[in-house]
Amino acid sequence: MQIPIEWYLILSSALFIIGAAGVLLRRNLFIILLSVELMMNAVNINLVGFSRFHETLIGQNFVLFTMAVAAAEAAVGLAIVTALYRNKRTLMIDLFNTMKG
Amino acid sequence: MEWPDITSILPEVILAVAALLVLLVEPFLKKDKTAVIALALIGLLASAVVAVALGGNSRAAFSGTIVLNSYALFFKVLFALAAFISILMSPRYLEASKRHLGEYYALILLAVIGMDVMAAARDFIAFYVGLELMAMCSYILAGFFRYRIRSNEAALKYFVTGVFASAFTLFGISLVFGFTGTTNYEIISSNLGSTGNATGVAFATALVVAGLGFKVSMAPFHMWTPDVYQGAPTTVAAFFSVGPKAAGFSAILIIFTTVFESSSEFWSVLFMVLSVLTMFVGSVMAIVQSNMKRMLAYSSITHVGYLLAGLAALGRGLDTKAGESIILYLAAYTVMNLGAFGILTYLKTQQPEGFDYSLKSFAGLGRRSPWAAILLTLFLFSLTGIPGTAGFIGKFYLFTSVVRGDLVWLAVLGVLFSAISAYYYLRLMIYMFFREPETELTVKEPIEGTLAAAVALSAAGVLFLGLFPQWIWDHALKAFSNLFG
Repeated sequence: MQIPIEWYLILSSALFIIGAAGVLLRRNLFIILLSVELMMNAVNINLVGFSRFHETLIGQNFVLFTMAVAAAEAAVGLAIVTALYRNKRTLMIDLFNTMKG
Repeated sequence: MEWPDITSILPEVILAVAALLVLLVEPFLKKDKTAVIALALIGLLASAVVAVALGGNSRAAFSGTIVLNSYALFFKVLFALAAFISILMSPRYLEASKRHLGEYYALILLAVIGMDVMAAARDFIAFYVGLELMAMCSYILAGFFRYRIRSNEAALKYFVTGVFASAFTLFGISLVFGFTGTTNYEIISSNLGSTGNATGVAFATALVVAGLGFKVSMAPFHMWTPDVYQGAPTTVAAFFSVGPKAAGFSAILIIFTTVFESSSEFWSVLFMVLSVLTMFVGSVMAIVQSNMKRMLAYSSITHVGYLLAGLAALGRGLDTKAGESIILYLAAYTVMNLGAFGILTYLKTQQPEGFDYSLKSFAGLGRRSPWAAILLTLFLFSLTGIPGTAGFIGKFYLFTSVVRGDLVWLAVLGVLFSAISAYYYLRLMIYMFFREPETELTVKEPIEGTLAAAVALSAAGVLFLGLFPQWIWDHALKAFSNLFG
């Protein structure tokens, strides 16, 4: 049985919204990083689903690129978090407020 | 004659080689980093020269994902110039901050590759990889002073907002792919109009606008800008204020005139609203700033507002004049903003502890260091848009094209906000020339070395574009008319 394209879209939209809400609402840096990954994976589901729908490999190709980029992004993000933690000893983003105006 | 694909990306290959050489040579150097700086500068110069030499006729490569034409060429030279001036500014500043590492130069070169790809891409996959390459290098550069909490914080804020924004862009792109089954700009543009799903296309357009809006810091996605500029090293802030913005606009121009051509009425209205909002937020917030780095951040947001007005005009009938004036404005903005940041960098190198970029610390600068004060005045005049400077030419062409797009009210608003901007630029000049300093800040040495070269280059650019606009106008014209070629 072929799974209809709408199912993919509903799943990916739900994941994307959960991810976006996580970035906006959660205060712990690691949870925020995870939420961003969730958003990226929502996009991946979209791309693969559409790829099957259109019977082309472009979407799957694109997913390889987004996964590589997401990995690099996680590396940079964790490096920044580590540097920050060494100086500040906390991961709650509400406390990062030395600049205002 | 058939050229191999690699010729079309030769400028980027040169930059990549230069960046890797910088990383390779750096560990063998002790204190003196001249070799690394020279390598980076030569790499940028060579990439610009090769781009100019190859850019005569347009070449498509890698199954049409990358093109090298006069549009890509214009931006490649502009990005190389921005990076060149930023690198010239850096050595003294990094030494004064006791963090002079070769990676800094490699990261700038890699960021330039990403920008080049953004301007040259004709396919969403290539565009996305370029965007992320630029962004990733920017995150690291923002946090380059990793022992300073403000630099960390700047990197964190830039990273979280940037990644969040690019997820939105990516979601929009995936929807466009869903509507058309391809990622190539031209094929999408011919398919997207016939999908008959106007709401879906508008939704995808809005998502891409939101994502790219973060990168160019348009309101309401501008929140990160002042914090990142304040916390990041000043030379990096100088680079951010021009490079990624110009790259963002280069991509916006291509994507919205090809991919979203069918929804141009929708995004024209969208940009109109965003333009007014951006100009308003930038101007109002710039007035209340006492830190000059933050003031320049908000002023850069105002400038983005002017550029968005040009985009709104472009959307109405896809008038090419609007596109040309946006490109021209980006060139003018690059030299004047880099110059202003160059002077700030100079002042910081003279007083690594005492100078905190506050309005008060500029008091009496006209007597202490007349050259710095005069040059900063020139750049501020240009940012305001006084005739004879690059800023005036940019604004003149931009607002003319907005009027041509039947948006007289928007042009009037733009001029009004420029008048408001005169207040916060002129206030700084008053402090420099007519206020007595409260604490005696001394200047140790005149502007010299590479920093002098950077400031002189920016000043020459400002005056040249201001007095002889024909040259840049011709190039902008050629660039935009060959957008698709």
